[in-house]
Amino acid sequence: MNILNTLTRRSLKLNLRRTIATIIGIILSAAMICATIAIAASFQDLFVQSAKSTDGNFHATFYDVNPEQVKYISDNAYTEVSMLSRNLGFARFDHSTREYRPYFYFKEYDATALRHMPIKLTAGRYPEKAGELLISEEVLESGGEAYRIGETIAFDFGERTDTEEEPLPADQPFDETEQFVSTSTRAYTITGYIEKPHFEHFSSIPGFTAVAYLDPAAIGADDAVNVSILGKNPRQVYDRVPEMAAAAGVTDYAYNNEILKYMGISRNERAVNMLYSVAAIIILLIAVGSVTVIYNAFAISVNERKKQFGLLASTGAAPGQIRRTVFFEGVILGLIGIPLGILAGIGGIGVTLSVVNRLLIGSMYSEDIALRLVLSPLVVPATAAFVALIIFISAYIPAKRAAATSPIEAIRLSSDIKIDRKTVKTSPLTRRLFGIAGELALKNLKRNRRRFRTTVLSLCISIVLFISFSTFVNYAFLGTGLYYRDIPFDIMADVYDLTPEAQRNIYEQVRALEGVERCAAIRSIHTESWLEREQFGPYLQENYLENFTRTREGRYQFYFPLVTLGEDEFNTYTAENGLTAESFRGTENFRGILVNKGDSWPEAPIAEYEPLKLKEGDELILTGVLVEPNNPDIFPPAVTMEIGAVTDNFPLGVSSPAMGAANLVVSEEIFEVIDQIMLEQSEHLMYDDHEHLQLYLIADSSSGLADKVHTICENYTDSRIYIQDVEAMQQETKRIKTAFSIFLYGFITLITLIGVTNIFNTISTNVALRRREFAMLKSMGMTPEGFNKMINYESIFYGLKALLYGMPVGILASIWMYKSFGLVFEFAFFLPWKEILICVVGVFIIVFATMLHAGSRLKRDNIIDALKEENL
Amino acid sequence: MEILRVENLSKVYGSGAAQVKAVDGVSFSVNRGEFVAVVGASGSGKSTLLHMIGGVDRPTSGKVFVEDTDIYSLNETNLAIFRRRQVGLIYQFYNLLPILNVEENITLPLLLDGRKIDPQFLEELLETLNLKGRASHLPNELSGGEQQRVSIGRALINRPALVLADEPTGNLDSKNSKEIIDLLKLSNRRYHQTLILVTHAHEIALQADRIITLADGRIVKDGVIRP
Repeated sequence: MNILNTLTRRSLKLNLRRTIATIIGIILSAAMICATIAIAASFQDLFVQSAKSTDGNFHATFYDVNPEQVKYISDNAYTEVSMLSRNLGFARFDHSTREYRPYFYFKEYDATALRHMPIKLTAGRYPEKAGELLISEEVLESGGEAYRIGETIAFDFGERTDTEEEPLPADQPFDETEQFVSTSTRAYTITGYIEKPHFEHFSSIPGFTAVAYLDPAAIGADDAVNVSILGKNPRQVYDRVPEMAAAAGVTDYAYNNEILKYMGISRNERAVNMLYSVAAIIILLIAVGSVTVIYNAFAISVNERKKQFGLLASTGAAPGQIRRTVFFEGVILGLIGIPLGILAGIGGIGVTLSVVNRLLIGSMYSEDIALRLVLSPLVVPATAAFVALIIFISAYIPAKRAAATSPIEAIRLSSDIKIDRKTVKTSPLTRRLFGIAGELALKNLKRNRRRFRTTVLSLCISIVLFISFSTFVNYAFLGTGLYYRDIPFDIMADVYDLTPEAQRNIYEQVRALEGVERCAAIRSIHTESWLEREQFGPYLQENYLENFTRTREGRYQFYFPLVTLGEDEFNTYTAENGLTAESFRGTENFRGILVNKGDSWPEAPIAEYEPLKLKEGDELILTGVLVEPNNPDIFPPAVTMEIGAVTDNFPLGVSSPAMGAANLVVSEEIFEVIDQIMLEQSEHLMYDDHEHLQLYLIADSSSGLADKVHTICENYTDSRIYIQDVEAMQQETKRIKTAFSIFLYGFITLITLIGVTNIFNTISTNVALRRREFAMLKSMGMTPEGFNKMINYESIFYGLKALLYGMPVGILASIWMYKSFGLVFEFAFFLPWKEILICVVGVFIIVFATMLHAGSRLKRDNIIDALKEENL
Repeated sequence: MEILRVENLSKVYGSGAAQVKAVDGVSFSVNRGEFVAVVGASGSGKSTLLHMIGGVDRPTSGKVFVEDTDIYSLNETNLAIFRRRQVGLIYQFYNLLPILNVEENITLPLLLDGRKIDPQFLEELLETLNLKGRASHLPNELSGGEQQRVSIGRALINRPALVLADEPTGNLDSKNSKEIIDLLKLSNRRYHQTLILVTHAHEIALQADRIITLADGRIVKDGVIRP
């Protein structure tokens, strides 16, 4: 039983308050580091889950693979799971009510693929043998009532060709002139429905998805299928897949980039990089805070045991032995603090995530995805090792100092006596300004430079942490604010297959509904123009102009969707922008309003900018957008449009177009005229035949309004009616913001706690160590008021010095954070002034309060006991 | 047989005009088994001299040879071991560790060495020190005299070559003082331990074999009383 370790244990027990404060410091840091890692991992897991549901759970796909190659790939050492799929092609869907979707598009999946591909079963069961089928549930609302679960139906497969009998590619949109050449008929039994697959949203394949069972045994030697795999080690996928392809003789393969990017494997993935770089900064800040707290605790402990160490040295303890006792103290505290901290961190995050999940459920992701607490087996040992390292670093210098204590100095505590006259010299001005109390305070601080510096350093670090985290919270809100836009309308209706008359009727009826304040009916015409470089704004010139199509003369292609809003809304819009609606109605000379604002989503960093440098009075030549732009025989119709006004307000129902376009708002009258002009050549143009109406409503009370609008629309179409009730979405956005707040403010609180613990620990011990000194002052006749004054001055000096150094460093840390956020979001730099003020006030409050509390205990001391004190 | 030789030892504090020469070029030697008293007025440098001999206060200049080893040429670790095994220091203000009990305080040098206590020897020592039955008490449960006896026990436990006592009775009443001095003399006679004792009390000094008188950091008289 090592006597030195016994000594350490007893000392710790005796100074229970300080021991507990130190353990709390360790618990806090372990908890926070653990929590940060766990959260980052959980978010990444969430993204991965989402990617699996939208793009499928596999890493790569090999296309057009024959059975022999299939075997090679499936049996390959790298392949963990393999699945087969195939596109069978189109089959007729005669009863389709969607004019541009008269087909089914058949895919085949084997049993594994059915479970891994991004399809979601909503009713019935998966197919289990050949001849069984799943169909998209959208079919039921689009004329497919006959396609019920359990029914066996014969499907007419065939090929789409153009008028010259050339086969059309699958993603060619439907054209009335195309032909369908039947090739075979097959019967399938429907076993279940699937949700409309995510990939349908981005595909122009004019068919509803149907998924049949692929029986691997039925694949002939001449058949080709697609093989998708999950690799054993996803990180090697970019090397192994090409290897496998080369060895198997497969030339066509692709990666599932969505899932790979969220797993952090794909290169240049900004979102995951941002997540982890921010997490790294946070951990670094936590580590800095922790080292300060724990270092301080050890420094204080060593200081208090100075006499003990001196005695041990005088009795013959070697420096190495003394050093080891300090480390032993670290071991004991670590063994208690680290496990508790890790448990607290995991527990805390588990609870937080379940609360947050309740807020997020049913919102940004579909219902079966949730923020799971992901505990990679590395989290615990990583945190433990990290905190152990922090403890070691913190204890190192105090340990060395303890071992270097000369025995006699320690016994006499004469390092406190050995003072250079110059060290404690203060100017006479000090006494004049602050009195003897102030002079004593200053001398005290000067003579114990090292202790003063350590205290100021702790305070500084707390300040830096607080400012950094406040900045982080503010930027995070701004960032998510950019992502989750505030929606300016209450209800949106999107209705298909309407005649112009039906549209008019719907518009009239809806705008007359009770509770509707404003109603915009949005229609648009695609036009483009060729602009000179100088006509573009700085953002596009610097960043994207080179990507636009260019003529030899140096003009760049830019799209101008002409947008009309419905009469009422046009009047409102012009009035809002200080314009007269009348001046825009004339059909002799066309005048339009340029909305000169765009945002760069989905390009990162997300930024808002002015696309063009056009002004009032400028004229544009707008032409229709050709379907075949390079055909020399076709000339698109052109009109001249004068820019009657430039604004950066979007009208109701119009949002920022994609990169390379800007909206031109025109009156109904002008719209009709230009529409007729375009109609004449509509077969060559990208012409929207306006069978589709979009209404945007602002209502003073939207309850029940969505249903009323739906009912009105039902009278005019059997097609799909899509009504979006924004209030529900806004609730969701609010919930998401609340969820983020919980995380972010939770962190700030914990960080502040670390800071406060630190300050409290340091200052109260500083005061306690000078017990003898204070007793002497009292014995010389210093009054309690004088004593208070001295303490107060010391507090002020500490606070000022700490802020002097802490503020600038905190601001630097904010700039660093701004740069990190700038990887994904772009916004102007700002400092969290409110929080800085709180920090300043907070520092002084804490310092004063601590000193007062510590001082009050000393005031009650019996003088002679303190003078004789046998301090441990 | 010479056991201690001090050559030109000095200890200087401060610098320039404020310089204080606590010990100023002291040289002497002591033979094994001698009982030497060092006397002098307050501030004459006696304690400082003793601490330098004991290896707990580094001199400004000069050398200290114990059993022919220049102790200040040793590295920190070896110097510590020297203190552990060759020297027993007794202070005026006991300087016990308040959180160790009597037995632990006494056996501290042994425990630092990682050696096992010979229970027999310990028993004897406690008996000699008149501390039987107090082995598990803490220092704050003992009287001044008892505490000083514990610190003597600590100094003797390792049977060191040199026992250095710095005003060991300064804080005690006359009865206790006598007991302490008797104890020290006993260890000197029985175990042939060299004893150097600093005191400003003449009656104590007269019990020694040899008296060295210090004034202003220098030896002014060095006389043998009992040859």
